[in-house]
Amino acid sequence: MPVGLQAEPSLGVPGKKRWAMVIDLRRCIGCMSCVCADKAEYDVPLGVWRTIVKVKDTGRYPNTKRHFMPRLCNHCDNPPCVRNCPTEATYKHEDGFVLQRYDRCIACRTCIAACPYNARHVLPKNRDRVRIGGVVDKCTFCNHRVEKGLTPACVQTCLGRSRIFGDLNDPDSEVSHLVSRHKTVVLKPEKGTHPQVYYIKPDRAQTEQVFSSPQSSAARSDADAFYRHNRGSKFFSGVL
Amino acid sequence: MFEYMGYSIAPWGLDIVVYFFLIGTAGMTFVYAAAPAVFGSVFNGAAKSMLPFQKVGMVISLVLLVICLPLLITDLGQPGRFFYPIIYFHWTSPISWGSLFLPLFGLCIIGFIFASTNENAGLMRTTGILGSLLALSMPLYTGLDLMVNQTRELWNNPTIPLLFVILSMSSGTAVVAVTQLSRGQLNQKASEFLHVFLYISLGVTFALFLAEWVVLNYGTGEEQQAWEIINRQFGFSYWGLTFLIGILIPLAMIAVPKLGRKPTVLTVAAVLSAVGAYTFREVLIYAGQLTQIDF
Amino acid sequence: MSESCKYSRRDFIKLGSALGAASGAVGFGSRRLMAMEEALGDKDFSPMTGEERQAVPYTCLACNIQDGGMAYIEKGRIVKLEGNMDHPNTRGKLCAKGNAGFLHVYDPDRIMTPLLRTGKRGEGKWKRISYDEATTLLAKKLREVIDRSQATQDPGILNEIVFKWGRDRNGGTVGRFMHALGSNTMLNHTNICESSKKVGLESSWGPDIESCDWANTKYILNFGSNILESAYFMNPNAQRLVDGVVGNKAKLVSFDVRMSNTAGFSDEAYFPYPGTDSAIALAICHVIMKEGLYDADFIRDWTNVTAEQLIEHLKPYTPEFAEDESGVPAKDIRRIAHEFASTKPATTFSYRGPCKHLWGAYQEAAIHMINVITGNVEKKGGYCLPRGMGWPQPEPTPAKGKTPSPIAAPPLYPLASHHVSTHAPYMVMNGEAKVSVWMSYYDNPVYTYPSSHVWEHFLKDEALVPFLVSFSPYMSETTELADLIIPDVTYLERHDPESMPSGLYPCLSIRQPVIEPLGGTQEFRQSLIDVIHKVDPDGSLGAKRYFAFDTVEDWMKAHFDNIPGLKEDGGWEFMKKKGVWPIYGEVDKRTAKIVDRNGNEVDPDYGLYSKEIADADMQGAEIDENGTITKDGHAIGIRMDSKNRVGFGTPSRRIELYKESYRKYGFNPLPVYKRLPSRDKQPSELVLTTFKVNVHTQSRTASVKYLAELYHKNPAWVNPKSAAARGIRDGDLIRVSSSLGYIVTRAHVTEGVHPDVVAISTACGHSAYGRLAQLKNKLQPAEWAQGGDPDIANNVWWNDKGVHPNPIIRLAVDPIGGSQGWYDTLVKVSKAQPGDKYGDTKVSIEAALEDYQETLRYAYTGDIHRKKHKEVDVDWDNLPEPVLQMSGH
Ligand SMILES: Nc1nc2c(c(=O)[nH]1)N[C@H]1C(S)=C(S)[C@@H](COP(=O)(O)OP(=O)(O)OC[C@H]3O[C@@H](n4cnc5c(=O)[nH]c(N)nc54)[C@H](O)[C@@H]3O)O[C@H]1N2
Ligand SMILES: Nc1nc2c(c(=O)[nH]1)N[C@H]1C(S)=C(S)[C@@H](COP(=O)(O)OP(=O)(O)OC[C@H]3O[C@@H](n4cnc5c(=O)[nH]c(N)nc54)[C@H](O)[C@@H]3O)O[C@H]1N2
Ligand code: SF4
Ligand code: SF4
Ligand code: SF4
Ligand code: SF4
Ligand code: SF4
Ligand SMILES: [Mo]
Repeated sequence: MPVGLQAEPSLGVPGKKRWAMVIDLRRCIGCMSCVCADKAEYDVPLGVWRTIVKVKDTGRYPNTKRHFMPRLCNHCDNPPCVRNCPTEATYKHEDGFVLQRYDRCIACRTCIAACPYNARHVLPKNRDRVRIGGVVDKCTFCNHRVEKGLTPACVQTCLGRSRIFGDLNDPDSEVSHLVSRHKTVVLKPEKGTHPQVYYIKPDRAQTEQVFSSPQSSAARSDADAFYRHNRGSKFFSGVL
Repeated sequence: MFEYMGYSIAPWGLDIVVYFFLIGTAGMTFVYAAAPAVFGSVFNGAAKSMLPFQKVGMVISLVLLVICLPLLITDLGQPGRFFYPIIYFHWTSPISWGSLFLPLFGLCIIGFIFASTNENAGLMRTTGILGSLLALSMPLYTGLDLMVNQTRELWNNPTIPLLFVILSMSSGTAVVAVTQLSRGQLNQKASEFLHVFLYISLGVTFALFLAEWVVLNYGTGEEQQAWEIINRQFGFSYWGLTFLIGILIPLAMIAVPKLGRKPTVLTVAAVLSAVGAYTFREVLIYAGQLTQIDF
Repeated sequence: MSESCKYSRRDFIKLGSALGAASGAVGFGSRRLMAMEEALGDKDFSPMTGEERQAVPYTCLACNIQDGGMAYIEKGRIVKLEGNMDHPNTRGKLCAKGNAGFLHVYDPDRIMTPLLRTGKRGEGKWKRISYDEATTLLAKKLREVIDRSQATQDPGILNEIVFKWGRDRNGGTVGRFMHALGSNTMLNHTNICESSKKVGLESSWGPDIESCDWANTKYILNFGSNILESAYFMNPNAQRLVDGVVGNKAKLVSFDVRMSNTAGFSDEAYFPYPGTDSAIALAICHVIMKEGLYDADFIRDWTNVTAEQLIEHLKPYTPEFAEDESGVPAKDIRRIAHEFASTKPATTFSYRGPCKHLWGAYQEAAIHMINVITGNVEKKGGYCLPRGMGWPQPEPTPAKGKTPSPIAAPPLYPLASHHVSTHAPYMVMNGEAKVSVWMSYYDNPVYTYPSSHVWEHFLKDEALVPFLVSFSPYMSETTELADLIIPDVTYLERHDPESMPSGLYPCLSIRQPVIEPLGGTQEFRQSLIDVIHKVDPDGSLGAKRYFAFDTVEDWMKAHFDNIPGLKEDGGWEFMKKKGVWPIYGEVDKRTAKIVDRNGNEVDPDYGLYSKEIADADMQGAEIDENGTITKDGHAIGIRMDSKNRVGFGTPSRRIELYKESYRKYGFNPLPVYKRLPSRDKQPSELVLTTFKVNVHTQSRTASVKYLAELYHKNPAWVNPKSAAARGIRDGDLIRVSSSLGYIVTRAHVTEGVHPDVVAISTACGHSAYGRLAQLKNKLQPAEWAQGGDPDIANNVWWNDKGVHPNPIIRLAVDPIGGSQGWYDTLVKVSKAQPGDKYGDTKVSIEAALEDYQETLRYAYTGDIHRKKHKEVDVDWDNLPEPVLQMSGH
């Protein structure tokens, strides 16, 4: 089947784990705890994110609604980022984690180009606490915690208990229960990546956020500031 | 509150575009320079017309390669690890192959130069054939580098590597024409020889341009978004520099062989096509990334 | 807290000890089959080395909800915060601010040493001095006042020592300190916070807040509270609200003037005209009463009114009337009334939206009444009393000062039991009180108060405020003006006792230094001990004996070592280890309910008011003809069904929908709707509303990088209709002008705001508070600052710090609750004028002084008060005289 991955897809393979996250969008309140917990856990610098929560308002006054859409690496079972990496710095773990070897990464950004979910970023070198920089990073599904029997940090703190984590190959796990009992969607299934972050009951406004650029002037001007800040820095020359 | 954003950047910038252009050009320059040694008297010895270009072409190819190396290496976030793609070779990654072929290609150039100064025809032929294959692999792998991104629809089609090879042919032709013209060596035979290749490359580019245009109009949402971006942000590069200056005008200039084989006309047309070869790549690389920035 | 809480505290300490004993066995018992297999917390490992991080429990104070936390430490550095799994209301989770809280400790612009002003006030020139020098200087200044008082034998002079705080979570330290010095001039920030809610509720049923049983309810009516982003108690309430709405299929109906995250999450959201919530609440009551949908027994037994009386009172408040006032359709109000009355259990919740207006206390009382007439009080899934716990004050405790302080308890506001701190500068400027030493603790009025420029003007004036001390660890807009700064440590480096009624399980928790205070900084309480010891070196003043603690930890031991139940569990040592007490059980991984070792939910206690009084406590009690039980001159319960029950914390021990205390001063004793001046605005005007956001706290998080990255600017929300009428497009530069002056900001044109409202978040727009808050992060740190964090120096990508609205907000105070009407300022919004720059702020002091005079006209002695309360049955010519009182709370 897939080539160039260090581990075969494990979804549904007996005796293997397939870690996955279910995000119950009915329960997400956009509190951003996940974003901050994740930044703290890894000393994630400003301007890059392992996880974000997109916000979208819809409707006309007085019938307005607000929708939240947490995003993170999908730990694809068929990850294109891994296949294209020239150094196997990014690799697929047999339990489904898609991980980085920082000491191998040359920051060629091929994997960023390959990921259809914008889940990857180049780590700035100026960090507060951790000294690793100038390499590509992304959400690790908190493998260092999961291996020790803990939930990922963003799941741990999720106020709405919207993020649920577990082994999809275990029929008794909560993620299995949720996925089998609810209608779930994954993002961009047509890309063949087999994403392992499942969303419960998104409505169209929520999934469309995945494909929308900033709408309000406030958001657009922030985007401009972001691109202006990055322009002329080592990468991104001229594109934005 | 308004939309929170996890903003993303386009990972590949100017360095990469210039690199793709130069390495393709270096490759094609090599192919032209090695042609007499490789093809000898096939096609009625047409390739022989490149004999005066042989040495200088090799040197130019080497110079371009030498420019490319730091460009490629400094573009890396970890330049000191430039050799990792070779020691941690990953066979499904075009960059790994490219990194392997690139030094081999360099060796072939040096080998060829060495052989030609020592008048070692056998070695010239071997390094010429091997080098030509590696030279072709340069634009090919850069194209593949985009193409293998199955999730980026603007890139993920098999015409991209072909297009990149063809575009290199245009820019390689320009190098030969400009060099030989300035050295007063662009004779009729050489012009005829180059005219054939420029004609082919411009013709195929034109066809691929149209094909791309159809895809962008009729394709998926992502491709249509790319179309939006192209017309908004890169309208001038795309329509002006690529289509008009890079394809239509040179094609018109060389369409009538009599006119097109005039050394000056041919050279101007080749240079214009090289401009197009650069901007076409630029538009495709940039627009292909921008479609995803907000996703 | 109120009296009824005192009762429940004792009760819960007993309850707690029983559970606490059991919990020892529960904690690490057998693991039930869990749906989510991984552990939810209590441990953390370094992603880099895989080593386990050291865990120390604490209590969060990134905002005022006091959630239980667990700090994780790597090589002496706090690297990560998490919720404390043992905290029954926090359940292991922190909000965004809580998660980012450790950055307060490592703020590069944190003040690391006491500072003495060398230049002019506010000029920013400082000399670094030691804590010893600083406390000696403060002691000297205090001693001067005391000596002057003693020399003239005028104890009133002691009231010139002023202590003003915003957050005081020190467990009575400030009161102890001030009373030891003999001063009563203590001012909190509660009148800019939510005091009218408190005053509306306390007079109704005792405590100052409700505790909803979100998870078990079926219907929630939310009036102007942003439960999912702010409000008391954001994190615990938000968690259980989602459990209720998604898990228990409760219906959530919200009233707000703009689309908060809560309104956006609601099943139904309504956008009333600002300040008309009580019209809606009264109309709901009207329908329920008129149509006989009420709980007759509960009204009869547990309130001080009759159903007939209420029906009569509510007659004018028809849904049609409410529609006229609020714009919320009458048919919806009627339907909601039916749904609320017929869905059991149901509850309301309200926060600052309704109460932060003139007469906000009425609004709160009206909303409260919905729960009372439907009998939802203290039911599972209903509208419950708050559950807190107490800790003893170490003896001896000092008595209050001898003379009442006019700025601590302005005589024109006899019902305002939470001070009227907004008035302090005006009163001092008018010569109604005098200041010698002004101490500022956890307080930033130059940013957080209405007409905030008045505070700057006032605190800058050395004639009015001769000596200004700030205990802040951050160079806030207020601290900038100080003469002396004695920096406190951050909340992760100090000791505080806590008990927050943030859920249905009462508990105690603590703050303790999870790391040694950085750079030799010293906690506030230690500074106060030092100051007292220097004011009264030989104890002759009688102040020293109240501060006979060697360390703050000793002081904490004195709080915690003698609490029954906790004592048996280990007292202070237990608190240090666990952070919270009692431990009720474990968090069920699938339901997040608190469960015992068998996996059964630990049921909270309901029906607190009907608990019986112990026979021993009845000794010497008397029962009057209304059934009220009194003892030693205090009402302690009520005789009901031939049982002695504790009842509610009011004089009659019933819920007092009728408030005699209000009537006495010419206010309506029953909840009413009063049409606000802002309701009669010109079409060209808009009502200015400010609001809090989920990722910021008051004035103090703009320097926290993760939070600032998420939210750093506050454009003005304008409805597309109102924008179009003014020729304003999204993103345009606009002027927002009130009678005080104007600010220049940008328009955020959005469907999510009432067309008569312009809404500006209060989170951004600093002119101080460190480099990041002001986007001056490229500058070098000041020499007194901590410095560090290359991330902030290099990676800040945003370029907009927002524009603060408070300078143009008018002072306007609720004459009952004494609470600032934040949402009553009328403004004009127009395109910016040529030459206007983003951030321009131009405001007048004179206009603010006029607002002060104007707002006094609403006070019970004022002319507008009379005009607006003609219906009240009181002898208008003989209202009680204004008298100086000892301050209330
Ligand atoms: N994230 C966060 N949480 C906090 C705090 C914080 O700073 N940040 N602070 C804590 C403190 S001290 C407090 S006091 C609480 C305050 O908590 P809340 O009262 O929940 O918050 P506010 O934003 O002050 O105001 C609540 C809402 O009232 C709306 N509103 C304005 N006018 C009206 C009106 O006339 N009617 C109605 N129905 N709604 C109206 C506003 O749009 C706003 O959404 O939050 C606490 N929790
Ligand atoms: N426009 C508008 N204004 C508002 C509101 C609104 O809704 N709209 N909300 C109001 C409400 S509800 C409230 S409660 C008030 C809050 O008003 P304040 O109580 O004035 O505000 P805080 O931001 O809590 O300010 C505390 C100050 O304490 C200092 N500080 C921070 N950390 C520490 C510490 O660890 N130790 C010590 N000693 N000091 C510290 C800092 O100088 C900080 O500025 O704001 C009010 N202001
Ligand atoms: S940036 Fe690093 S991880 Fe990504 S493809 Fe290149 S070497 Fe691999
Ligand atoms: S989401 Fe992107 S980075 Fe993550 S595994 Fe999939 S392709 Fe790779
Ligand atoms: S799983 Fe871990 S790494 Fe991934 S977003 Fe959540 S906290 Fe961050
Ligand atoms: S922590 Fe949970 S509820 Fe909060 S924003 Fe993240 S996913 Fe949504
Ligand atoms: S709501 Fe957030 S900031 Fe406030 S105490 Fe709780 S965790 Fe801390
Ligand atoms: Mo507040």
